[in-house]
Amino acid sequence: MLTFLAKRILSGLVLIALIPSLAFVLMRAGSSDVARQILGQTASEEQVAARADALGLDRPLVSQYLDWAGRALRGDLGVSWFTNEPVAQAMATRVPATLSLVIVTTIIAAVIAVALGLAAAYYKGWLDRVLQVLSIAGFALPGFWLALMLVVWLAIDNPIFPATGYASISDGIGAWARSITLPVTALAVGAVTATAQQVRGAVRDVLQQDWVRTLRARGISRGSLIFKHVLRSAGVAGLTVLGLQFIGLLGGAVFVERVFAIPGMGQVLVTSTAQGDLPLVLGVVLVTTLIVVIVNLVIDLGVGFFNPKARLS
Amino acid sequence: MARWKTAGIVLLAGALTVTGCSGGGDTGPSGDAESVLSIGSTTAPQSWDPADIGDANYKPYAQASYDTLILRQPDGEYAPMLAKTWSFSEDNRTVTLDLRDDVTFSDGEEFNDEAVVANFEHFSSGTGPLSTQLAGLESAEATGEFTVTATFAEPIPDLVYNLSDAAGRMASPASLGSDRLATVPVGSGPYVMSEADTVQGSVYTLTAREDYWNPELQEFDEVEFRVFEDESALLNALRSGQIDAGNLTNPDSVQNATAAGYTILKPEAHISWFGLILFDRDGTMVPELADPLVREALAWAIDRETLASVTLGIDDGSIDTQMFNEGSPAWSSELAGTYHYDVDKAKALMAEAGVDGFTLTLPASGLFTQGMMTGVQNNLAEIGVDVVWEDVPAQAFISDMLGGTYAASVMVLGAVPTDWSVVQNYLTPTSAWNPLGTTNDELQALIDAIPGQNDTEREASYRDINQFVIDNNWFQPWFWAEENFAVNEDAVQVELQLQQNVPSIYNYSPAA
Repeated sequence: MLTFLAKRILSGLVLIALIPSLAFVLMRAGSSDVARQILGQTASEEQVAARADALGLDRPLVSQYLDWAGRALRGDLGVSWFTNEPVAQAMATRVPATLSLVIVTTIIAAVIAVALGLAAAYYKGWLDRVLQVLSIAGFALPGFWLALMLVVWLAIDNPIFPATGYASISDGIGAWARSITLPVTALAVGAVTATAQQVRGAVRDVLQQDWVRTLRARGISRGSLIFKHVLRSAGVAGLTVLGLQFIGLLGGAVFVERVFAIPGMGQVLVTSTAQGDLPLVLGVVLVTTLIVVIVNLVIDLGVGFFNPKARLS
Repeated sequence: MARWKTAGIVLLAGALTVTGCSGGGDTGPSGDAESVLSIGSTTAPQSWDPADIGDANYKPYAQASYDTLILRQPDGEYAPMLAKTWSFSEDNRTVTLDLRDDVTFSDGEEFNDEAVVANFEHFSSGTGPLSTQLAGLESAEATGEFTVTATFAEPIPDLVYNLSDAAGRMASPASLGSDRLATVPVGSGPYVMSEADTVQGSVYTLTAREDYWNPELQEFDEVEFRVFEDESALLNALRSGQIDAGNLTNPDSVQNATAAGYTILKPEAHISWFGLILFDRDGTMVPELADPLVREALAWAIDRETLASVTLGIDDGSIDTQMFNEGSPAWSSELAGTYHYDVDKAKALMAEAGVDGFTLTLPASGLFTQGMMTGVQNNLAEIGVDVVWEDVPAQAFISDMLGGTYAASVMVLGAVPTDWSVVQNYLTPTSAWNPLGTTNDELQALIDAIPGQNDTEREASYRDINQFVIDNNWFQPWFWAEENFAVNEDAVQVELQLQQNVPSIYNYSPAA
């Protein structure tokens, strides 16, 4: 187990080094005039050149990257070229916002999807058919449209929830919960339907196993059968798809961040990429990679819990 | 099984409790402020250093935190602010400012002559977008207690305006040069940033300063700026009451706001103009452009109304051939329609010039709609000018243009605040938007005379320069885009500011 963990951590470290490097190359590969973007149309060429020099843009790319990497290792992610805010500080305010959305969405998706998938696989019949229809509807509904409709219905026409903005937990649990209700709802619809389908399929496969029939024949209660045995066997598939949903939501939440004006990582990544704000882009990519590595590690550990055969040494 | 049921019930009860606890309202303004002004914007300040804060939409941010030496009132008249009086030497190269002696900065530092000198030096030595407002500063000296004298190499025609704007913003000298000033302003202004309630790039919350020296400019307990990446989110925030005002650029947003009953204010000053810039007036790249008849033909060949419609979507632009903004002394309503769509006239001019046709390569940009690009191409093709659109990476578009790569370009240029700014930015041999350094003796004589002239003489010179540009077609504006400022008049009242696309922060007051 320890060897397994060590391998996973090592591969994670490689990714953490590799992905931001790739982002750096992609950002600097195209011709860009960041200094002009910062100063605006009416700045003179001398002013633009002075700003470019101040930002170190005319240094060799390798030198620029090594400089950033060295500082990053010491915990200094630099300063945004456009907002002048320390990148670490920007991450400290934006990561919680995105993680709030993603974690709550994942939890809600897990609870509802497991319940729906389990019921559909166990009871079959009309319940299963309803789930199929709901799944198609969930996939077909554009998330952006759903988000806008929720704003109109539940924030403007009926002001139950705020139309925009994010309240951190430190502002009060109630305010925080109200601020994320509509965005999470918009995100959860797609997540629930995708996960429910996976759970349904996995549970159905497990229910057809001989050992399940044997347990039933031995008179084990339905609840014990489902929650102690079937779910555990089917848990790998569900956990895997939830993990993928979580990772996908890290970037996919950008559309709700935009609609609801939530200061999250996705929104800042889109803006900073368009502007060419390299320090901020690298900061977001680094943090995102770190989260993905951690989530993958947690999934692997979870899979190992559900399936002892997966605990490779 | 019972344990699962219990856990489920507890979770459900907790969720209901949590969502039921509203915590006193939506994610609107923070704290227990009695009156709050909340302004929505699609732009966030890149820096709170007064030397680096930009123009136009950035002004209210700066005004909330920083006083200026001179106050520009809504009607454009100037009034004392941190400077009680100001006077100029006979040659207009030296300005003397007598300062207030009862002002402190938010960090407790005293505002005085030394503070002004430090700010002038900080501003003029920086690379901020408006640093040219103190161009040619030779010296700034504290010549007496609360008296400052600043001398310039050449008279600056807009100096009084500049001292009411970026050049006149005063930060605490103790904060100048500090990295922290980029994210937290330290001024003497009516509001102070609440760092706890501020998320850079998203929400800026400033609270009224308790000992502010001019309570008349302090109408609210709190001012909040909310930044929206998406204008539909801004509109939703307006409709749900989270913000009181904000500028809208999308025609659909304007229509929706109007339909929802919000007041749309249209400042006289427009935000930007769309048109054709002919850089190569000397014909070094495209010889045909050296002929004024050919350049004039291009002006007659463009169907401005159609291009405005496909670009702005609705009738939300002003057809105007002038690059000076409406409301400025240089602008004239009689010149707005100097050129209009007349293919026959354009062809006649081309024939008179002895030109059958030529190829014109223009850089393509995401700033232009496909409809506009197609329209330009078709219009010019009618007079034998073959437009070739060349793809340019978005981030290199402006630098390539200003680097002299192209003989001409379609462009959308943001309005600049004063007529002298128009001259400095576009018309001198060293202007950024004159990359090929074109000169003209007649024009240069007009420009050279301006610094030494009085206000009446300058206005006449600007009008002459306006006429020159129209006659010689260096710049060919087609139409100006309107600014649309949406206001919830049930919450706030606001007065527009002359020659400014957004109201000054001082111009707002509670509706009640």
